[in-house]
Amino acid sequence: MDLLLLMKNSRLNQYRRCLKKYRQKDIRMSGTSKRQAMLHSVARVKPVYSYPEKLGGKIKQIIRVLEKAKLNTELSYGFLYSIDETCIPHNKNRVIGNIPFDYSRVIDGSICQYREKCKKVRNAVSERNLTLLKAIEDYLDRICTQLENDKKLNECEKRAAIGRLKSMKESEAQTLEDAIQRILFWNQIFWQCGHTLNGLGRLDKLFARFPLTDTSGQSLSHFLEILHRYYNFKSSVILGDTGQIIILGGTGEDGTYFVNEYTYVIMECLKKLKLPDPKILLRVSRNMPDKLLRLAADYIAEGTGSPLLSNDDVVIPALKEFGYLDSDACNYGVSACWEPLSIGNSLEQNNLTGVEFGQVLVSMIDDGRFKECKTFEDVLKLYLEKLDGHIKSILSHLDGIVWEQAPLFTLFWQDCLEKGLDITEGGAKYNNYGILSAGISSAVDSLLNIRHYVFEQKLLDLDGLCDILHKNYEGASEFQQLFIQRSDGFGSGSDEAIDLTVRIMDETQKRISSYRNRFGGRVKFGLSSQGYVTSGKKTGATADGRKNGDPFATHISRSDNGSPIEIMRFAGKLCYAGGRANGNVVDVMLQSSLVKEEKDRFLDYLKASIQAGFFQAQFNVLSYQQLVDAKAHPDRYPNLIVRVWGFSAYFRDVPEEYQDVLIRRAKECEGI
Amino acid sequence: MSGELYVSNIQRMSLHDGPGIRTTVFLKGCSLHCPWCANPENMDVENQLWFDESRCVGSNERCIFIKGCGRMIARDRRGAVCMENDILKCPMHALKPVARMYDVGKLEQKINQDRHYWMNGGGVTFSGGEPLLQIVRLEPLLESLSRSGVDICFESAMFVPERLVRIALKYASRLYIDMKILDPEECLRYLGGDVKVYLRNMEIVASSGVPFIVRIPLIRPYTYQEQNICLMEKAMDRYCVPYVEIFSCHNLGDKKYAMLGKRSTHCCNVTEMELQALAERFASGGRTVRVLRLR
Repeated sequence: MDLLLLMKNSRLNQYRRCLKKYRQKDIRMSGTSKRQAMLHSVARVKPVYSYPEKLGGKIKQIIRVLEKAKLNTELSYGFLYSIDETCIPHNKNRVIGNIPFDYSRVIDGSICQYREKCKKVRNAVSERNLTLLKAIEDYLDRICTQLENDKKLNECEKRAAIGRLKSMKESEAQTLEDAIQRILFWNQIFWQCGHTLNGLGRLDKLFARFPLTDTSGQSLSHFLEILHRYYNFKSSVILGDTGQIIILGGTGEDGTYFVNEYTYVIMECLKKLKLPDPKILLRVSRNMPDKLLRLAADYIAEGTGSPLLSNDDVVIPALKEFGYLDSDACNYGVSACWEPLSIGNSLEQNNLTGVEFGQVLVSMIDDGRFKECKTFEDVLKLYLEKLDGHIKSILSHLDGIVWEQAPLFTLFWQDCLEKGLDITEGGAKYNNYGILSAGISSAVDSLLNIRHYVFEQKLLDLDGLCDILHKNYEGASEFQQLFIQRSDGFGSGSDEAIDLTVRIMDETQKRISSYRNRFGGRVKFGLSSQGYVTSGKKTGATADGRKNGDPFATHISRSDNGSPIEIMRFAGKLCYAGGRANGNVVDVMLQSSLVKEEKDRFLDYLKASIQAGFFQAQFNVLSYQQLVDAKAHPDRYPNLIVRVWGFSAYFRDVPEEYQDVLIRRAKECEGI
Repeated sequence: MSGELYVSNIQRMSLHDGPGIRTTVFLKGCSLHCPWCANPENMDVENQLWFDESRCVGSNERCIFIKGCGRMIARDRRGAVCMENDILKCPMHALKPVARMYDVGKLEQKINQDRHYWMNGGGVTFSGGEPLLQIVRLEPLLESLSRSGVDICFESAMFVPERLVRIALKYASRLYIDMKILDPEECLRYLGGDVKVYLRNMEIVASSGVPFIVRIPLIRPYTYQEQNICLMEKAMDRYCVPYVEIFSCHNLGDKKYAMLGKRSTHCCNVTEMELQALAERFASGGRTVRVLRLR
């Protein structure tokens, strides 16, 4: 069967709807046999590893996509960027994505050099790489010919564009504009060939060797605007979830902090553009220059939710302990949102499913043995037993995933060439998986409430608690209020809450630490997840006052109007080492009076929080009244941008349940 | 009781009580009883009970959690002196003591949690109530913070014995001094304070070399009246006050009065225009004036 899909618009829309549904379901890890049967029917088929036949099909498919994709030769600010949204490959299996391509390979090298490299190795991957390089060259030639023939284009601009494109074949990039065109070209190929959530990597480092000129700022600004094109097509589950993340700054192996003029200029450009996408992850450290953190603070004050801060002082040691070499840990990037990985040499599929801490709690309450527990330790033991079963089912789900071959990634991953293996067959240097989690705060607060109100204050018994939760607090609003009003739960400075969270994280880590996937890779988890709404929807009432179907808290956050210091202190007390390093974002709502009127103090706050040791942090600076109004009158706020889970999006595009979470949290933050 | 302090609140990340990010400790007990006070829970020296009706889940005057705690009892007990072991263990924290007793060591441990955030001039501010009333018991903590280089500020009304002011001056990097009613008779009538004591303490502070900022709550008809404003100007000239902060009170403490079973005094707000005009008037005397907007 030829797998290329050439679709008309109506069919494309239908396809995209299905795709979104598919992905939406896919992130809600549940292990339901029906869904798995639907999505991964091929999972039960033993993969065939013999090369030529197996790779042939995929290569053919990519070649056909590159041959058939319609080209739009209209130049944007002198650059070419063309994706044919109606011509994408159909994939039977799960597609590799959510990882940044290492653009240094195409900026600091040429197709010709790569071909020579491949010729030196004789194995199935090198053969395939040569075929693919030929197809890409043909695609490049087709673009250049079409540009040549386009009479409407400005001749001078056209010559420059063709020159830049052709130079990719023979030489490394000579100018910033060359580098930008190369990134755009390869980026369009990845999108065209069905890879999604394509990150952009460490752009300031990539551009470092090009001197900054008077026009560089403008070129970069145009580049970022161009990347924002095809916004709908690129968006995954929710509009805005494109995964186009730019990593800036970062601590090197020698402990010094890397920053250059591009770090500033790129951030300035995005700040001025006021676009939700592409987005920035700024690697921060106590060694970073104040000037850079101040710029980040100013950008945060804009209220677009960018940049997300990733604390190298915590992340790098955690990655080293997980098993990355020093050089790779220091060169980390992230998947589409926040999950750390080593750029350019890893398979790292970091968003495969999630640990449902909240759902585990409900399954514990539903277990007949729950009512028989005599002490809090008995309850905790039962919770951990349920967690154990849940994690086992997650790990078996991971084993069932069948990957669609990924010749494009394999082409540039050095280890794949040397091993002669596709990236989806263990060809990469690192072959780890990652899982997210949802509902940790509900689980911790529920367990603390059980300890306090059942075993210590004896305000109710476990039987009564089960009854209240099964009735979804119907007729028991006093207990719901009792459970909600505690201020010393998850995210507070209470040692009890910190200890319990650490314990649950440790137990999760223990249970995943011995796992090895079929490539020998490990798995890591983190306390962030896009599933806080979707997971909440399918989880019954919990003993923290949360009703059946209500969303869980966003990542590491507090539901009350606590001090922004407290949540940072809490996050700094958690342990993220080893298998706990798959993204742990503190999600903070801030009043605009702090970030806009008290800039020096806000800077102090950020610096001190880095020292306190958060793993990652993102900020929403929102006004409750504005959000309420924007929900009622979306037309009045077409450009209002908010941070959703790990990306920024236009508020009007965010599904209602996510809008409601933001409105509620803004209200709590303002103490209304 | 020596070394123990009644603390009604520890505000983390306070932005208005000194330079940088501050941890503000509110100490219970005051030498004045300003009718507009936004922190009435800190007036009495003794600990009290307060009752937050919005938290109470009792129905039909009965509490479902605590036997014997009807809402009526809780209502009656608000404002009452809270004796040792005399706390109804209300799980909803609807009825609870206003302040918590800290020994100095524990208080230090608690506030030290914010140490990371005290960079660039940040630190600890003691407020109240009148924090200087407990300064003798506080001194070991001040000593310790001072040794560690932590910036210390006090927010005081200065109606306290001179020796307490002198202790504060030993440790303070800056003082926030309230300026309220300067007419002796009115000050005594409305606030219960002796202006002479205030002026003498101002003299001591002004000659100490410790920087200070005068804070003026503007409340009609108490502090915001022409005669009082003239007196304030004179005093500020006499003590060469360089910095002034003015603000309107907006009946900020209404809910707290209700929780204590006390009636709040309704004060008329000073308008934004009046605030600006007064700021300009004070600034014309060569002072730096800042208008605070309290929420």
